[in-house]
Amino acid sequence: MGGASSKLEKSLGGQLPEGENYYGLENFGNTCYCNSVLQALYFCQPFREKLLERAQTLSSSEGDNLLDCLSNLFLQIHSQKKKTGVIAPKRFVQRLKKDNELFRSYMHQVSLETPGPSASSPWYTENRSDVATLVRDLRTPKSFSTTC
Amino acid sequence: MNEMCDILEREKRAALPKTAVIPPDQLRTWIHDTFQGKLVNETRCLYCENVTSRDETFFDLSLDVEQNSSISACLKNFSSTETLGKDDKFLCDNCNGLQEAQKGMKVKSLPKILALHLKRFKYIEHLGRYRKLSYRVVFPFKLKLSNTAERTPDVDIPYSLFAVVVHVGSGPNHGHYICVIKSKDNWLIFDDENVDLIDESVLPNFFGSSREFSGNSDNGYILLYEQERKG
Repeated sequence: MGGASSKLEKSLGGQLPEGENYYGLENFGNTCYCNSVLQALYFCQPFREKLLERAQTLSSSEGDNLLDCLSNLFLQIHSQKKKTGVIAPKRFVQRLKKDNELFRSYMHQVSLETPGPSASSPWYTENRSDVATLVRDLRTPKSFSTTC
Repeated sequence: MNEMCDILEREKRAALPKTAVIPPDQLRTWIHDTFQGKLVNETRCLYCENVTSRDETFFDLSLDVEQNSSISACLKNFSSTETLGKDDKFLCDNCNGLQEAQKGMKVKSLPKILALHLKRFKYIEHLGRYRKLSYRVVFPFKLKLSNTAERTPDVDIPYSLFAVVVHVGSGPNHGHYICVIKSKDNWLIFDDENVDLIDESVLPNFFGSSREFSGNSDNGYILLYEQERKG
């Protein structure tokens, strides 16, 4: 991981923009989609600013919902002293998985009630929502269970 | 995102006095301010010419993709009018009858951050499964929406592309996702742990392939555009 980051610094000619940190995100198995969306949101300036503000107001004892986990992750990336490196978005992914289990079990019931062409396949259950959009996908990040 | 929005709405609701009705605009959060746009769904009765319109909000637009097309073409297609007729007639409130009608959707208010989702995973009825469409869909660095309603504010302010989530692979249930991002004046590629600098000229590699079953399978899937600052 040290190698990869110094390579980036080298290719930027040691001129990393002020206030910007570039961190890779560890994959916990099938989390490449989640990681990609997280990076896209991190570099969405107005979104990042609001979440960093939020993170400042959270004390360590609170902050258990998805938004809090995301705020804390953004703050973690933002406040690193080194400009590049790798971070494990562990708490966020755990929270997301937990929220998703609830969502999936609900979707599962729905699909059992309304048998479709391939309603019996678990894959169909996962993909029923057909959302796959960025915004809704944060709730169902693996609407296509991609192995990566 | 919906969930995060729900959390903020709940917090806002908790902070307000518990009166019976809270007007929806008081529950508007910064997530709405950032990502929410508005569509107007207009239906013109072909008997009495009356136009019925209904507003809908969105956080992102999901676009159907076609081979050798562009984002502008997808957006045009999104807003194209369809004719309601035969088994699918429209109940017009004005003339009180089931009539043929023309229906179309246009963008009425532009979000600060525009999220576009390309529907590259399509359920193919006769195959009984999903297929990935690697069609070539050109996305521009700067985008102006043309599928807007009349009097849409700020319609001349262009959007700039700042993030592309790319699906790598030929099928819907395998493959990999990476993200290409513009930060300050550099383009970077984020692939899980790895972050690398890339040249802007590499981006057309993520448009897709103009030939079926061959060529490039790294395709832009989600595009994020930011409205340029006014003035």
